[in-house]
Amino acid sequence: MRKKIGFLAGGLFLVGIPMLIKNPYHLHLLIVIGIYGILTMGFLMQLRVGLISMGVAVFWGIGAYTSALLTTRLGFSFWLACPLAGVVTALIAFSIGIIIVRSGGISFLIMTLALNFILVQVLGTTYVGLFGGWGGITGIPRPVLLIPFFGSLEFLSKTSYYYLILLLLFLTVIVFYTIYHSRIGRAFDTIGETPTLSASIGIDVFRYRLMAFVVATFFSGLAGSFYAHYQCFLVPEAFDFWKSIYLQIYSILGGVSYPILGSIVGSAIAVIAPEFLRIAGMMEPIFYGILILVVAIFLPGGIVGFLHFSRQGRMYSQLGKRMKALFISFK
Amino acid sequence: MFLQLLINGMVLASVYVLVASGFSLVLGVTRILNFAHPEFYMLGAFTFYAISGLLKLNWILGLVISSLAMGVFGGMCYWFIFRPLYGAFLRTLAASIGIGLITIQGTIVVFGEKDRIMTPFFPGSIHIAAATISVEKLMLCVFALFSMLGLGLFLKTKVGRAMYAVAEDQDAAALQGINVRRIFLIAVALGCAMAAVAGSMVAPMFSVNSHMGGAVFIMAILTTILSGHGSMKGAVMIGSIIGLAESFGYYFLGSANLILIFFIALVIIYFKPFGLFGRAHQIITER
Amino acid sequence: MALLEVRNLSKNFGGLAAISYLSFDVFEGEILGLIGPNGAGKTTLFNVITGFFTPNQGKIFFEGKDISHFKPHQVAQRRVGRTFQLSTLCMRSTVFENVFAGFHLNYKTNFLKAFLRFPSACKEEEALRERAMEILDFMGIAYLRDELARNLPHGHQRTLGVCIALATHPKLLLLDEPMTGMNPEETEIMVGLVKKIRDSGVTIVIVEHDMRAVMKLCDRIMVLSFGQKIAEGIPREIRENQEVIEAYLGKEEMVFRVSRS
Repeated sequence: MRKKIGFLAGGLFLVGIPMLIKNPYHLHLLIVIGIYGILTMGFLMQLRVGLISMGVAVFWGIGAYTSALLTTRLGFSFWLACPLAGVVTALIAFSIGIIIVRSGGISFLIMTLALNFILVQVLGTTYVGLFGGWGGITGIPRPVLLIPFFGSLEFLSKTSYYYLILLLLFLTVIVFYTIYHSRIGRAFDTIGETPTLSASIGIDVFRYRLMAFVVATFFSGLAGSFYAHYQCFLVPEAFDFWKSIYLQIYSILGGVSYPILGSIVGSAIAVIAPEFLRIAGMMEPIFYGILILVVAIFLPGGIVGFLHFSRQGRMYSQLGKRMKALFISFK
Repeated sequence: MFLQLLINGMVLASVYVLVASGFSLVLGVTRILNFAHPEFYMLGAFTFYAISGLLKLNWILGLVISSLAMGVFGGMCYWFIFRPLYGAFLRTLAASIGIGLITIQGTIVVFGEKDRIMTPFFPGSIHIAAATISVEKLMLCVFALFSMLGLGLFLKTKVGRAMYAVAEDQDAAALQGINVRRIFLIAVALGCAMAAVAGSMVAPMFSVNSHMGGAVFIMAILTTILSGHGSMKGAVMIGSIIGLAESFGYYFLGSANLILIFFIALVIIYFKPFGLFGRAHQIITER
Repeated sequence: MALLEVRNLSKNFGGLAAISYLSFDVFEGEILGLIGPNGAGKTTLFNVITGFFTPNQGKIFFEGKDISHFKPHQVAQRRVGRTFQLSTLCMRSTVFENVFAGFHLNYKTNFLKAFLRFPSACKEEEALRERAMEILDFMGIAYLRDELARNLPHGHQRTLGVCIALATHPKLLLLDEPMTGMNPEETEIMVGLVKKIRDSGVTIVIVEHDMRAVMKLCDRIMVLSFGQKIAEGIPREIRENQEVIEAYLGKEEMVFRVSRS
């Protein structure tokens, strides 16, 4: 019960934010957090079933380009293009997934890594008429909302985009939450921890892994579509493998065991921290790197894990143990 | 023309081979995915630049110092950062990215954003039939060759064989009295030193800038994946092939050459996920 | 018709024949013991039957249906349960959660109903929770329900493995060395439990090295050596079988002599 009230309160707060924050740059940051949050949640869902995806950005990119093409070439409206982009991404993921999910852990990791490179090259050099080559696609239309009696509302202000990404985020959170707390979620957990046992109790490991993969990529596709219509232009390099790697880092910052909260918190830290560190000027990336190092080494549960456990005081003893291990080097 | 392409390919190959074998060595022996590896290449280049370019000391000295320095730095990274994180794949990855970020920005802070150009130590070029190669680049190839031969010899020594043992089966190696942690340390230091050598040799040829690691990184990873982590011979062969493929491919296909390479790579990976010369190892353990 | 029929089963790994032309039956309601020296192929046999390995030759029939090339989850769906020698538990979950995981196949209400919290779904969830406690109670580890699996001593982990297998409501249960690491008292208790499981309607095949337990527990025993069946029969026959004694290099002779039926 407490959780539900928490969710509701959090949700209401998020809805009310644009009334507090008017600065468009700040809203932009929040929007970016929203996008990364969705992508990271996708990554963590795959991680939960034992799939370490190095290619989170790939399906994000596929979604973005699909949506961009649907609107610029075929004149679809955003409201049609967005879900379609998600579906197309999921379908592509499904067909690739049938091959790579089956092969298992390491193979999956390497292939998703390779997918990054391939996507960037394909988008940059093939079908230049279609994909726009390295220059990408420009002039992607903003979403236009047709309200029956008032006329149309074009998404010009950050506030409207904010609500849109919030909607997508809520959607993703609700779906993911439902899945995680259902029989499917339980199967996911078991598969992630012990695939052998899962098989012996009747869980079709491959099917559930593929399911996680497709669900995660569907939402990545949606996020991609949003990104395309927010930024209004796309370049292939935006989806390179560094993006994928950084998304993984965001999830670690938040805490890998907290698939929903961790993703959002991690993305938030990743986006906001550089803003605070900006005062350091040139040293900013250095501090950012140090932040990553510190969290990776000292906070195995991520920030959320740290906060969660520090209430019970457990983390502090962990911290102490880690410092000892680090500096008392022997053998 | 063919010869020129071949030579260009060999130059690329030499760099890829050196960087990739370092990365592959670390991966194979310690199972650590060190995404900061190309930064050691870059740092090696900068150190070399600092010693031989700015201080104008002998290039041999510069090479030695830069590889030693990177070896030590790599060792320290292992000891303080990777060792406590051992077994936690994602966190090691994140930590290596953190290291990468710090080093890249560190060099920008210290040396500034501009490319640094060094005067070549071996001026002039050689002509072979219709092709030309600058002596500098030739030295790179020669060096790469000698380095790999040296590595091969090293791997036959007691320490080297211990590395094989650890790469094969850590627990068995430990039971045989091999100090696994020390081997890890040596492997990491060695891998980083090799990257530094590559960086140092490349420094006089092209410019030195903080982002030079990125360009080699993709090819180095690809080489490691295709050849199988831990396989030095594989790294040499695949690295050479990739270098050549890039060179020839560029001539025939323009920028589409990379797609072809990646696509072929994907096919190979599907059939042989552990690389053409690799063995089935687990590099990922539970978090 | 036997519950499980194995015909001419062979499994090779590279050049090594782990199982050679093995044929046997398991009859409903019995406890079949599977013994043999290490490396005889017992665990391999379990792995083949439960679909983790595919046989090179031969067939396996369960309840008359050919399951030779079934995948593990398909075999489990036909209600064949098993335990493992090495720990394959959800280490990060509690004992209760582990057993509950085993109910995966037993959910009758559909996903949508569960999501919307239909009363039938809630009732089923409640019923399953009760059943989980029943199983834990049955095996005697109910008091550990909130303990993390990784904190359990080895013997209890094994017992938990059996609980999870029981949660799948199997018709045939394959137990792989459930008594390893147990002292004589614990073994005694386990023997009683296995009998109780059989009495509740489950056919059992058990691999064990503890000869006394095997002799006490099993209706019939099959002996494997180097992947082949060298003896099959009631415990008394096996005890006196010369080949069997030789296969164990006389090491177990003392145990054979000491144990009574």
